Amino acid sequence: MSTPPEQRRTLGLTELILGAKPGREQAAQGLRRPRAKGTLLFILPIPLLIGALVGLGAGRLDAVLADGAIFALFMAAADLTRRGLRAEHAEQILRFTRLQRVPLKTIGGLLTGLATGLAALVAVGQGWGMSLAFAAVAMLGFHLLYAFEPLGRPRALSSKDERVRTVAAALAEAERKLIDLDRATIAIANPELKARLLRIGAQGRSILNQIADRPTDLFRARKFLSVYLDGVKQVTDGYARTHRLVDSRELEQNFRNVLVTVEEVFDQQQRRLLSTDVMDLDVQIEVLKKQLEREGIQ
Amino acid sequence: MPVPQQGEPNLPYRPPWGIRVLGGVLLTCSVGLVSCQAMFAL
Repeated sequence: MSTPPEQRRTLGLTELILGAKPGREQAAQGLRRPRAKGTLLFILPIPLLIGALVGLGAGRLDAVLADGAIFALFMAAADLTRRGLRAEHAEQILRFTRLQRVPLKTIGGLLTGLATGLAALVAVGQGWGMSLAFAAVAMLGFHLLYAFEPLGRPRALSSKDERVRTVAAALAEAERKLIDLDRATIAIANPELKARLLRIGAQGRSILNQIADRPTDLFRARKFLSVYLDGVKQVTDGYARTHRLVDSRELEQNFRNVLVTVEEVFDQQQRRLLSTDVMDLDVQIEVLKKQLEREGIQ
Repeated sequence: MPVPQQGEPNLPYRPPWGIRVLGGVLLTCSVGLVSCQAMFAL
């Protein structure tokens, strides 16, 4: 997949300023890495650290404490912002689950403003007015660059329709199980079993997407959502916990057999949903044809 | 039966790159300037 040169140049400039690399491999895999990483927030306050060290050499305890404390505040703000950006990226991958998250970026931005104001007031000795102005400019810059989280995010699903809510809740619940499955997969060392589990996770997500596209499929996939997903999650959790403690070939083989069966069942489930869709479409086409014939249009 | 809204892609808001460059300049001017001033204030 090639990128036009102009696009590459624009990206390069942005990446240079934001201190991040374009993730071409991830883009190819359909995953977008967080491009802004908050690197600027880690770099800009470095003179404060130098100031604290110079103060240490010059025997100025007040300067060491002031510069050191403000530098630490800046670092805390930068760390929170980075975590906020990562959390935002993680949420982007989830399709049905919306995590309740602490507005880390907003807290990071407010801390950046506070640290800038304090640095101007205490370390530089500016007046209150100038310190507030510095803090305001820093927060404005932060907002333009990283964007504060919107206050009072609209609810993901505001529909009053009971059936729609049921479908949405079932999808979110199933996605949480798949995320747990992914977490358990990381703990498994065997590459073959890991690959099987990743495939099962991908199949599961594709079934969820199918249900989201046609919510009536939910009632056909109830067993998949409630029994199979739970089962595979529990077995994988158990295996991930015990396989490092007990080196048993038999256990590994049993787990492999279960995974093969699960893969087959998931595949069948997917095909069954697709064939029902095709059948429904056939009926709709037939009905439309009959209606057109009845009304004299061939 | 309508498709659940939760099925829509969940993309976070990202300001356009020009705005982000402006934000970077403002952040550099304020935080960078204050830090440098603090360093030379000794």
